[in-house]
Amino acid sequence: MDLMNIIINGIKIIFIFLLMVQIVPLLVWIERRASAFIQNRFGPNRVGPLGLTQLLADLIKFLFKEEFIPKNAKKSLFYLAPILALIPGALAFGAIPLSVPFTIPIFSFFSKEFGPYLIEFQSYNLHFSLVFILGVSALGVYSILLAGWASANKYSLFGALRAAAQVISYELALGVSLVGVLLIYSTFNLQTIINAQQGAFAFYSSGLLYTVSFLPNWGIFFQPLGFVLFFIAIFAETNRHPFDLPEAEAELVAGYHTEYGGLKMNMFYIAEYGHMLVGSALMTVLFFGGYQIPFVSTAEISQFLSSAGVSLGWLSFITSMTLFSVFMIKVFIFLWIFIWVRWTLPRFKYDQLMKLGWTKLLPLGVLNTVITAIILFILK
Amino acid sequence: MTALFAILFLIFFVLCFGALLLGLAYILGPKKSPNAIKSSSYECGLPSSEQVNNVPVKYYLTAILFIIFDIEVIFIYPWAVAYKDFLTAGWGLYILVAMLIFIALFLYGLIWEIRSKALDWH
Amino acid sequence: MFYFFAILLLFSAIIVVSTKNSMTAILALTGTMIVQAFLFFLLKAYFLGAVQLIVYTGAVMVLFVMVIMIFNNDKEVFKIPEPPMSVWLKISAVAWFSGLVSGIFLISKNSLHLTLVTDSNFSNLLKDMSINGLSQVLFTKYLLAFEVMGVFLLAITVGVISIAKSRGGTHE
Repeated sequence: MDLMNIIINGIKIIFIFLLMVQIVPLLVWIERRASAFIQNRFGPNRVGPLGLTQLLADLIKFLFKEEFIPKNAKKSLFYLAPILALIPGALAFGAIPLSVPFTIPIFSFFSKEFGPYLIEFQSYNLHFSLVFILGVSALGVYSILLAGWASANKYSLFGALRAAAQVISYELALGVSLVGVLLIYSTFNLQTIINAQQGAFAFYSSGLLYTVSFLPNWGIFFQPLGFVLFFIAIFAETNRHPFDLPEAEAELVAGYHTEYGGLKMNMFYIAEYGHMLVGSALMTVLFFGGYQIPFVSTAEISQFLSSAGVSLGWLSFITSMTLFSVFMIKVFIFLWIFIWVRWTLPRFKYDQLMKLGWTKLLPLGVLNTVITAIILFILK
Repeated sequence: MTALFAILFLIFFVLCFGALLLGLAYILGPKKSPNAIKSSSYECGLPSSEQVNNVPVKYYLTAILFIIFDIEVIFIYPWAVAYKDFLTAGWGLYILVAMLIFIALFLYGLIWEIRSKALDWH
Repeated sequence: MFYFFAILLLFSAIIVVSTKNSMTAILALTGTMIVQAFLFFLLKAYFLGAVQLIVYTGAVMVLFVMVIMIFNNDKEVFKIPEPPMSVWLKISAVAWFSGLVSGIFLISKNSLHLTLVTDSNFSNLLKDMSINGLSQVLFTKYLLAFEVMGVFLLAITVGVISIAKSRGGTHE
């Protein structure tokens, strides 16, 4: 590991983090346009083509907002909370494999040769990435609690408490719904899980291999119930509609960020959309084959690309980028569902929310675990 | 080891990024002298009040129950990952029954909790 | 790397006991837990580190923060009074601490403990520390203890609910 390799990896980590941050304005734009479309309005369409630069204008506006702190607020924690809000999403997103690793061919830089590097398209490849993501996203509660407490406002405090109780309740349902996936793939490593989802739907039964040729080998066909539970729990984890009780404006003004304004509030938005992104990426990786195109292996793609005249040095990079765009398309489908649901369904009541989490999702998750284990035992 | 460095680097970078954003907003934003009404806590209509202290005990109960069930779920994880190893080693029935007992205890606690209406919010 | 985390750990732990503000203490304790998880990662006990993150920082400390949040606002900061300490108490505390530190150095110099983790059997140790090794031990050798722990957790559930639902005292 020489210095150049370290620099390239550092740039990669920063690139992946900025990718996450950059998706946020795009998502806000999609959300505003989509809500307008669903409610038969126009939405932002003046600034730039299709209103795309509206968010840039918004950012400039946010930068020039007055710095404001309420009198009773605890100053240091008030500033710390929005910064801390960014960390869980960023750390979790870094552990998700976005595409196949690619090699950077030998290149010269200041008349020095630098050898071929194998770059993984993720910030760090941990072999316990799934539990790492769970553990890191558990830290997301802190910024919410701190923000609510530091504002010294009863609406903020109750919003924060509600958010914390909701997030930890649904973390259980989330954790249990993942056990089925672990049973089937026997690993915590997301890269291995993606690799196991290649080809057509296939399973072993008492030593014989059965194949269903028209279905891809995706996790959702092994774990339909697990996927549904995971999908619902992710909505609650990210405090999104129909579970956005912490921000129920009829009761709590704006929840834990009532007293926040300008760029500080914006950072909470970045965190929220970051969590959505991580959730969508996890659903893609665990249940929809990650970055893989169904029925097409990575080798076939690079073969096709080389026959199309891509030079050998760039081949692995272009292959990686192709698969990355496939991954992004899948992720954006889920992000679209997040937005679509928000503008379609009404909000739950808080008691309904807690009841759903504890009395429906959790037992169903345990049931899913038992069923999966017994079926695996019968099929051997 | 390298992954650990990468994680630390990412944490450091995110902290710097957040601090940079806040600092920029702090420098660029207009400074106006605050007045008493403006800097008081947000309230709609009423005079703004102090923080409240009577919070339902349900929040604590939720958090405590979460700890207990979280530990149980964490114990299921290593079982789930090693399940296929046990199956191929011929220990399938043993490990299945072992975990079913544990899950029965888990479910019993859950049912008890639901039946006792411990988490009924009203 | 180890020293970096160790110093961070010591630093945040010292803040926990030396600060007078309970919120700062709790946050520093959370920081201690997180650094501890990183120490586990450093020892290649990855699952244990992640469990530390999920259970301790994600669940236990959240409860603590919630409790402190409600009981600690500007009006009623828990001022911990300066404990009355006689000279002898101070001297004995220092003696205790120096005894502990010298004990650590003595033990680490002891060859018996060093032979336990030599390079040759370190790789074997690592193999056992992987997640499959963990579950193989947990579900065979310690199965009974594991199930008994399940019963304990059940008992805790019942106890917590009945205490929280009991009437009287400060609520209801």
